[in-house]
Amino acid sequence: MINCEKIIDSINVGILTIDADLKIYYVNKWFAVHNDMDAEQTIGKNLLDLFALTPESLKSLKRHIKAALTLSGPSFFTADANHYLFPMKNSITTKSIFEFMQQDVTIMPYNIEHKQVTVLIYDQTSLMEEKAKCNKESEALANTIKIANATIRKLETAKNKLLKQKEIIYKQAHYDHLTTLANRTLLTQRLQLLIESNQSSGKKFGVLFLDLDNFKEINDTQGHDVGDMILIHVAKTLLLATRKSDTVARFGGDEFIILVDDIEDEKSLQRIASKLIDALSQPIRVRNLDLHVTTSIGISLFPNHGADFNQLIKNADLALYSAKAEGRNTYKIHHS
Amino acid sequence: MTSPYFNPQQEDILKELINVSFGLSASLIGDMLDNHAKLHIPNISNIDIHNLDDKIIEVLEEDSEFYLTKQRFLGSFNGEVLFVFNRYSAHAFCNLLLKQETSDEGDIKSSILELTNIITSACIGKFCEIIHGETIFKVPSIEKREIAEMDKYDKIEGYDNVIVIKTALDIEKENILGHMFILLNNEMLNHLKNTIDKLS
Repeated sequence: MINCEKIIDSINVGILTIDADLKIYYVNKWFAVHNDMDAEQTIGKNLLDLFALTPESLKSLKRHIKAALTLSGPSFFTADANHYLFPMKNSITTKSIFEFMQQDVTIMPYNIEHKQVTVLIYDQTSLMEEKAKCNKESEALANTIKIANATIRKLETAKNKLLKQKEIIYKQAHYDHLTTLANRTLLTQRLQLLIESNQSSGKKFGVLFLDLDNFKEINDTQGHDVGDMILIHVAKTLLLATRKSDTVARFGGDEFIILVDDIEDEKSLQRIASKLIDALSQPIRVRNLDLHVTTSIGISLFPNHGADFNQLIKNADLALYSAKAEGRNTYKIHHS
Repeated sequence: MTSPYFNPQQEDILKELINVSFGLSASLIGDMLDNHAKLHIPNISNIDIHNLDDKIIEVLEEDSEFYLTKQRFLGSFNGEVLFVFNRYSAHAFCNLLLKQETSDEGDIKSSILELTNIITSACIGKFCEIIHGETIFKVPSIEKREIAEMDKYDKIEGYDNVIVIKTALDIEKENILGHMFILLNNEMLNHLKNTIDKLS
């Protein structure tokens, strides 16, 4: 015949039978051993004589007993949510974070008429220990990720700042501060690029050298601030009158140079020069004054009038000198 | 092939059975809280298991965080019960049960498990009773989840159908809203439906 009590005493689960008033009717060997008690001597005692349950735990235990008896089904405490119901010493011999054994507790109806239930206690300390360890590692990992993300964000901000500074430095080095047109440095680079690309393709481009005719007079009579406004206005007018692919540069003072790429012949340059003279001859309204500015333009053509920067600029300048000599407000093409 | 859905007559009987279970549950919950508790007549629907995540998102409406309990039941009637509570309802119930203003995660989880244990036990117990089945319950688990992370959680496998039961619990001025999801395979659902048909 099967000896059930022997089996019950050999399993790794705590078992006790109590009633709704917490009177003990039975405890198995596991329960007695883990609580350092004599199983026989616990019979008839009250559970509260063995354990100092907190008022909350006591209330909860009673509710669970009632639920199990009323529903004729199990009622559960879990180590995950409650840690433990009965303050039983943790039996783990290695260093543990838990003072008390972590328990899953199942309360089953035993004898509904006598309001008796069976309480099953499962030791989940090792599992909870592992879980806590995993959680700690996850937290550490999450923290590391957080720090890494913050560092990435900082680096991205620094990178954007550096890119902006680089852009500012580039602009300062390549563009005229007053008019925002290309400066001499950028003009030299663009002209060099045009020479290189047009040498291989055999295409032509023009260099238009502009000098405002009466700028010094306006500067002297109206002041430098008005002079600056005129220069800004001229720069805008030149940009509007040319193509996006052309380079409009401030060469210095009231001198401007325009590189006009991909032209067919000198006539094309003449049309452009004429258009620029017309555009600049419109009066400029500054401080309630209509100021009139005219310009003279000297033109050189690649490759006819030079194969390098200096030659092309020099020949355009010579043509400009001719235009000035001819009475200003006109253009001249260099003739070699 | 029989339809996986309940016909109106089956739904009425199921509602009646659940209502009886809810009555018993409400009485126990009321005792727990030293208060009057009322569980509303449940809304019941039946969905395919593949739509479970979408349904959970739908019932949670705007809430991003929620508590999910899971409990398997095994035997001649077997399946799994999930419960979903939004953050507000979980906190409100815990505060009512423990009679305190604020609660920590442990308090909330144990309170919700206590509540769901009662409703699950009453409902599944009732189903078992009518189909003359036997079942044992596994230890339930509870976890806090986020809707935004739904794709990352492990999918529950081995079921075909979900009975969705809205559980609205009135305690004092609070309305605690939860949703119960009973996961069953085709065999168990047909078994339940056949038994219900015999009751009508």
